[in-house]
Amino acid sequence: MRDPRTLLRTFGAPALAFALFLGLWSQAAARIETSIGALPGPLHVFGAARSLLAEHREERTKAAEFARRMEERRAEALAAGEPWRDRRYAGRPTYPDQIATSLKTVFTGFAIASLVGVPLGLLCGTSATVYAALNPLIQLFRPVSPLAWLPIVMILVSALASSQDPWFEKSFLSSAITVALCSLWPTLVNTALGVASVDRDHLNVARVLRLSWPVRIRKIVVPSALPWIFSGLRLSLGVGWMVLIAAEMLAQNPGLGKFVWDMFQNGSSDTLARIMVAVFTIGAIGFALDRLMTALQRAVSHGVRTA
Amino acid sequence: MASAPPEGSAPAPALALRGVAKRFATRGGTLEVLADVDFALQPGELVAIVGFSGSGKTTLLSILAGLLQPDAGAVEMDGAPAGGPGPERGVVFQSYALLPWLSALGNVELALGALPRAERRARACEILAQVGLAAARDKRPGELSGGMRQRVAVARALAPAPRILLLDEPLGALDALTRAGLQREIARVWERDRKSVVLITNDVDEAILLADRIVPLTPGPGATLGPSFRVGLPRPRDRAALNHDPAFRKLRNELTAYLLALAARRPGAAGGAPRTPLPDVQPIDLARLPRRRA
Amino acid sequence: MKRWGAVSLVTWALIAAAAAAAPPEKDELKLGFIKLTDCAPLVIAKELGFFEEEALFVELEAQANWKILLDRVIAGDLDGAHMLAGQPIGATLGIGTRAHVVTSFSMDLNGNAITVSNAVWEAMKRGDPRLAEPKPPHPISAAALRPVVDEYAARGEPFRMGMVFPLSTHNYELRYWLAAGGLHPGLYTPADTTGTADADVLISVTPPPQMPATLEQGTIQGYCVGEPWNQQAVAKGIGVPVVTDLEIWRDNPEKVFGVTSEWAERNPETHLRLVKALIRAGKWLDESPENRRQAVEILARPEYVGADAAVIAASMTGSFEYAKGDRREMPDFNVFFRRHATYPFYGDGVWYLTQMRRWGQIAEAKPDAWYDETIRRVYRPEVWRAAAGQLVAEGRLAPADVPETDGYEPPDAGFIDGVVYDGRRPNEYLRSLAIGLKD
Repeated sequence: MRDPRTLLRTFGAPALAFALFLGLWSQAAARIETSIGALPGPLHVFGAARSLLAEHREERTKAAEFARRMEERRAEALAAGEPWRDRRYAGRPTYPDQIATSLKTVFTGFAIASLVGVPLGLLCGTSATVYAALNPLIQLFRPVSPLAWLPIVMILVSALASSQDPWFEKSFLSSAITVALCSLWPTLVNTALGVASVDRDHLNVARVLRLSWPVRIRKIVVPSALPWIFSGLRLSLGVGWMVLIAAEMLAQNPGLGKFVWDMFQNGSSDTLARIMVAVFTIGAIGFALDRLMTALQRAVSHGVRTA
Repeated sequence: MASAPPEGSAPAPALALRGVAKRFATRGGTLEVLADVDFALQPGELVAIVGFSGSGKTTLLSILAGLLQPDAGAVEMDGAPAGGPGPERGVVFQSYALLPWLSALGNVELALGALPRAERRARACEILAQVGLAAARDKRPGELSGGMRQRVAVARALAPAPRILLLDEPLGALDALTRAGLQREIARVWERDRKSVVLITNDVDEAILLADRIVPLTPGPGATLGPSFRVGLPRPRDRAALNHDPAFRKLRNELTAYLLALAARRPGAAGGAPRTPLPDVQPIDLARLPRRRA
Repeated sequence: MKRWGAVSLVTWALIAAAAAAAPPEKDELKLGFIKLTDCAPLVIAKELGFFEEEALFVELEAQANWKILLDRVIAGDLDGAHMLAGQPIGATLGIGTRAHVVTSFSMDLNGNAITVSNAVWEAMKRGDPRLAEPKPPHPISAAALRPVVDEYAARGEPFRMGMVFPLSTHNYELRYWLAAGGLHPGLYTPADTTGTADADVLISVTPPPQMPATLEQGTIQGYCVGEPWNQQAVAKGIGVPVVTDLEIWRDNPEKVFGVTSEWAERNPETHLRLVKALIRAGKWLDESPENRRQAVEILARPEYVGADAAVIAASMTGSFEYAKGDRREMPDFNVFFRRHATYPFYGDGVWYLTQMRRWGQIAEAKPDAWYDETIRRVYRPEVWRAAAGQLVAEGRLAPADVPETDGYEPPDAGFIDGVVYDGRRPNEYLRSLAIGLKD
């Protein structure tokens, strides 16, 4: 049974701060007018969120009707012996669809970044020569903004990718690759650091026991570096999520980034409220992702404390 | 200071160092940690090397284990040049170096990689039982006490059945009571197999309790090994009884006196760094200053 | 997807018949558009089921800007798109991204306006008292802007105006209007691709959604753009439209439906059906004010234009508002079908070629024959005629709706400065214009 003072601090303090924030926000909203309309207050934003969900339900209903009609038509066609092909419902992506697309894209980019960053980091950490060779390149490319990478990536993807498979949709690939390029660095650097920080005594144990190189990596280097690797992965996912929104806006991947830009282009009186819904959604998801990675990091840290 | 055995008469030492020196580059220049070290470990012998902190004990042990190569001199195993480190020279590190993500069993199994899985597990369980840790098999090092961790480290070193065992201050981090218990364990383990063992320690009593021969390491820099002190006390040696044994007390006093003498001589000890020259300054006596002419 | 009720068995029968006639090569299509009110034919064709009746299943996707839209059509991510009339021409010539883009359908005539900031409007009123009247005489020539530009020049400040894309109708209309009033809008030279050489007024690209904000901040002093951005400026009180493009050139071609030439070659039947559905949509839009009101409602949805319905209605339902409160009758602000608006006339395309040459985007002088050859590569009225022919056979189009023409209309005097344009004599036309390259 936790004592009331701790409970108050853990839950009461943030609740109070949030209530204060809502209060300040609604006061500010009442006073600020922009060229697209008044700054939306908390109620307006909440209303916009509900209308987005309503639109989603409506769209799903239409899709269901379409599917039903297709079924009827299909039965008729088969009965009449005519050829038939299943049709995809050509509706628009709704807000939850866009959230799903964004998550799919960020995880794909993150997977690419991890698959490249961890092995490269292992290499850099074990070999001082490789590290000396790659370090200037790493430092050079690390600060580059996704908005600078994106045009290059888009042109390359256009030139090289030609499949019609939805997994290889160009806007999806461009966004995922840009996310990978920008979020690769924390994983790479932290993995290298983790590998380089392996306890000298542990490595000596490996030498005394004459463990082969693969066994050494698998049983000593990687488990020792794991807390660092996960720390890097967590940072990478965070960076990737931020980069994603920008990348989607330009690459036109139908996710949250495109949603924000489309709403901006509308310039309607709902625009700001909808964009704020997106802001809160993006923040909430980023927070959830970070919590997920922190939990994973703790699970593999076996008591070791890292940055 | 043991000399090489006469040709063809006695078996070659299990492990020998001849004229070994080790230097390290530091900011102030090259530091010679070990200079002209001669050492021979006979088969079945337990030798204790005692010395001061910072004198290069761990460096010496690393060279004995093959983890470091000397800058001068040779390292020989059974008369032939010893190569790199290997399981035949088991090492127990000062910090135990147990892998925290493996259980005790996992740590010991690591040393048995060559065996097939079932056999490996059986042998590891056996060894852990021998050091009295059968119950704690599946615990992680984080869940074990200092003494138990030490036993796991010993078990891991013993698992590949090495002929030579090198122990780097194995009991240094433990409290006196645990240490006493483990000293008994080490003695027991050694008696069973009669491996060739080098034990590095800073505890004179421990050395006398366990070793056949004690070799002091002079304080650095440029440390070498001093003359051997033979321990003629009969085994098994009981600590409580030894305290009353005059031979024990005599040996202990000799050894301690020798070490203290070494300590006193430390500045300018053999091959040490030159003394810092002090400027020749005479203090000014203000009373004696010539008066200014009026 | 049809919004109103289930599709009847009859319609399905039509679809079956349509599909059976000559099946389309590709029936699941993704078309792009920009959030401007003249994407209406595409939206109506989808929402009213015209595409579906041609056995086509179309997804419409809004694009971030004109460049991305064009790139995606060229790359094949989009099958076709709502394009500026100059885009297929510019792309085929290699101004910007090079690709052979063609069009067989003109989406609308007119539909743009030039808006200036409140400060500039006040300055204009000071310079010409007639503008200060409650209902000033329109059209307003750019000569009324001259004193304001001079004022800025005297202060050492540049006078900036925005448009949406270097190959946009807005760019050419803005430049025409400025030049007609004696202001030099700048030339494109090989050394200076921003198009500001020798300029009195600096013209630059600004994305439409950002135009009101940049106008308010004073980064630009005016802009030329489609709807809803001019009426938006009036509604929010940040600017005043001074002239509409139908006053600059009556019935000017505005948007087209563009596809790459490879796509058109690979999918002729699909292309034909798309054009059929679009012609029907255009006809529906011009049929009645009630249809226009319905269209406004549909366009106001967030997935289409998304602006407030009132703002969209301000220009699409027969009137246009200049300064706040100054609403004028203007049934032709958008023309989707009347007066053969959907037919891709060569002469329309050649006008854009002449303006590209006039301002230096085409770097060298070209003979008249070149203009004709070039436009025939880009504008493809054959597909339109085939589509219209089928529609006439189906009874959906009157024979009178199909123009009798060789692609060039008679000389056109509907310009704000009275200069006559004859599409058959482009070089003569260039020489008759006061400002700009002469051949």
